[in-house]
Amino acid sequence: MCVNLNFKETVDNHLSAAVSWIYRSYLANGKIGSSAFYSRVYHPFKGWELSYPETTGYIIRTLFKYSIRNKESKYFDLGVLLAEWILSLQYKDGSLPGGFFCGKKEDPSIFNTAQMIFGLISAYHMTKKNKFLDGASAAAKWLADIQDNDGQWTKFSYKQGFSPSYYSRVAWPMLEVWKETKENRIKEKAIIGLNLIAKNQKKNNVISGWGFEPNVSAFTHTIAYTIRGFLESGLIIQDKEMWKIGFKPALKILRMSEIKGKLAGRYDENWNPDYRFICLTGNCQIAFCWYLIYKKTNDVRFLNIAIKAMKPVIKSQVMNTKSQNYGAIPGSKPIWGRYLIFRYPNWAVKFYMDILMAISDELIHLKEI
Amino acid sequence: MNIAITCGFPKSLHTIAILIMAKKKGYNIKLCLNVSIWNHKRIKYQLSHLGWKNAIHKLKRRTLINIKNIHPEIKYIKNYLIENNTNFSTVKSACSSIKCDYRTVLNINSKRAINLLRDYKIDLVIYSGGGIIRKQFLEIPKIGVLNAHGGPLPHFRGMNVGEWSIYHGIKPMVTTHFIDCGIDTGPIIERCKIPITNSDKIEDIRGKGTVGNVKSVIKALDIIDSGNFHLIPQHKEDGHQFFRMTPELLSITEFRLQHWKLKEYDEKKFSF
Repeated sequence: MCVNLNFKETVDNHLSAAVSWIYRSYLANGKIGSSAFYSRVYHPFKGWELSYPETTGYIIRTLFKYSIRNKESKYFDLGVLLAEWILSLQYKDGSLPGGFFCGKKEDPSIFNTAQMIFGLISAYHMTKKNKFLDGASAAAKWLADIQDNDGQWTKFSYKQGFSPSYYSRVAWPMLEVWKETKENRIKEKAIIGLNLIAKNQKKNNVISGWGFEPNVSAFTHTIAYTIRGFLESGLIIQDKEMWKIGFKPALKILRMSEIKGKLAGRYDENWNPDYRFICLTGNCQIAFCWYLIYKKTNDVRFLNIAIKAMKPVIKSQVMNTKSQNYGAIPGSKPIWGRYLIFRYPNWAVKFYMDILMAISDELIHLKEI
Repeated sequence: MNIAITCGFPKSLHTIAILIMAKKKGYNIKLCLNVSIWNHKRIKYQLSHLGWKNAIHKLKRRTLINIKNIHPEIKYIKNYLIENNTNFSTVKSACSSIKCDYRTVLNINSKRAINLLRDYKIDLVIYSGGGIIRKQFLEIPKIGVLNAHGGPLPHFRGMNVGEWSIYHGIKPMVTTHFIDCGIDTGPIIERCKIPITNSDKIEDIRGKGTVGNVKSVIKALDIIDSGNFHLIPQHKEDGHQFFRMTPELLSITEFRLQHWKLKEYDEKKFSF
């Protein structure tokens, strides 16, 4: 089956399946957050994992976008409910918990706090309720406070003591908060963090340390986190050099993918690819980075490759309406690939919806010119 | 001038047309280097880029003589051959009619291919498919390796460039140039327009492009043979390298072909 993204009905069919899966992930744990993933291997009876505050946080933005685009208020309301839930998890110091939610809050987490800011900021944009902006601002302040003097975030990190390069995606939401509050300290701290990570860029354009652990191959998932952090931050503060830090590896990956005909699941720091699997989430995320570059530069090669990167993801979406997993996206292709083996994560669906909506709308726009 | 021609597959009508038209003009094509389609790297490349279904269809098209449902873009080059009283269905048969030696190599950059160029004392190679040519190969012919590129250089390099130029509102054209180590970055000999109409589809542009390609090669041979020509150098940063266009953008391109007023390419005025 070869899906042509020019057909709005086809795209809407896939989007509708995806958003319905998100809704079921919300129902799965008694309407508390969105379940992290679905897996009959990890959870043979129930299928659904506990709710995941981090990804629920950034799913909120996608739900708002979808509800407005497709005029379905149900998902707008869901976005607000989830944002309320995120607020209810916030510690007094502004931080937000890491890990899954099992009835009690886990310890704070740098990265997870930053990702939940996205949900709070977009809830503020949509509802104009100050409590969401206040929550986002408190979270950003905590991120600024907890930053080491040299710009790293080593406390409350995913791997204790390791401040990975994908924390460019911590700086980006801080800048989103600064855009609203104009608190310069938040901006300064975000830029200090970005500048430090930028120093990790090697001559081959790899941004060293962009994997979950130091000195291991990075999934395209975290590579895209890193790149997008720089692209979006560069756009917010209108800094071309910051933008270029993300642009260079994005161009390199474009060339490699075009020549090979596909994206690898992960790359090491010498760009040696691992083609044994595709990290489907990473495909969606890298495609979004390419889409951003296309929108900024009007270089259509980036739109072209973004469309190509989405084809295996679209093919992998569960489209059997009778399945409880209808609309899900596996972590890897094949499903036994190294990224989230035998699992269907909620963030894969989120990034899938983001890029599918963006590409489809852009193609409609191009046809109308 | 001793000339060789490369060939990407045994039924290439493009190669047949160049062979015959060059002979009519009195050029001495001594060697045809056919690059085997049974090279595992080529097969792997086609599979990863086209998928099984399309790759098998392409393989059938390129190997079977009497395949039904011939691709519409082929009709242009077929008609061109008929107009020129040529009825060869394989490159091999065309070669034997003009006394050109037909040799098959596994890889265009293989030792065997390079030795053949040396043995035949080749001055000029006409590139007509067979994969990317490496430095070792490029160094053999005294004059160089001639390529007719299906788009306006220096701006549109790489694949599907006729389509990409239309997408950008530019009329398609063929550019003849010498191949260097980059992708379509070698010095330009000449640019030739491709005639288009509002009713054309992308397949028509491709078909007309193939014929335009053959005519451009012959014209370039005349220019080179005259010895009186000026090469236009290219700079790497002048253009973009394009890759295979997705069906989504192809349909937008086709719409633009039929509804937009396309402009003539002007190297100095055009920018992306």
